[in-house]
Amino acid sequence: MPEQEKFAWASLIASVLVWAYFAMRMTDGGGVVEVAARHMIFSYVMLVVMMVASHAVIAAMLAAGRRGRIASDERDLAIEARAERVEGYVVAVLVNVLVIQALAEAAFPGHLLPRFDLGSVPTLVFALITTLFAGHVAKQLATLWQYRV
Amino acid sequence: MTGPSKRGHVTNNVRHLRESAGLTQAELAGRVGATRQTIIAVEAEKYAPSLELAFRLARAFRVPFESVFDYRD
Repeated sequence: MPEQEKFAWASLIASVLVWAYFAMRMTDGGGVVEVAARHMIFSYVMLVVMMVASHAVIAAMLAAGRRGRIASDERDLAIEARAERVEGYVVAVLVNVLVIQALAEAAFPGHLLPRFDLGSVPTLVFALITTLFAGHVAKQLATLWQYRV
Repeated sequence: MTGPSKRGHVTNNVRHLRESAGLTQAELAGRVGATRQTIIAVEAEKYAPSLELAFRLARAFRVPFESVFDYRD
């Protein structure tokens, strides 16, 4: 299995775990809780620290097992570029969903679309962080898919 | 408008040349500055290498470029 594929698997698992931790701190019973700003900032800082630390550990472990072999080449870069394009599409779609939802909420208060109260800071933070995570997960899945086909 | 109406396909003799030269995929990868996975993908014709890598492969086998790669419509 190529190093990039191992990295994608590890990053996927780490990202889902970190997002689950963030969701656990920000939600309750399927909805976002109106938590204090201090609580949100702590959760956000923890999320950043856990993402950086986990990915640094993954990269260090893979580098240790490299033993002089070439880490990546043009094919890996091409796969990464295509995966990043998928990530961009996913983030763009989700941001547009949030924009449409916010506009619908403003223009048609009785609309039937799923409701997120983006006027609430915790909900906005959670929605944006989840969008970034969804993009990252999509990138790792696209990477894994391309190494398999 | 002119131009090709359908995409062609790059074929290669990398596996045959590598085996004739008595090289492993890892050894060839080391010689041309690629990963073993890329050599596997090139041999399986799942990946068409860049011109630079293609020329490095031809140089590694000491044969003309067109002996390694071909293009079919």
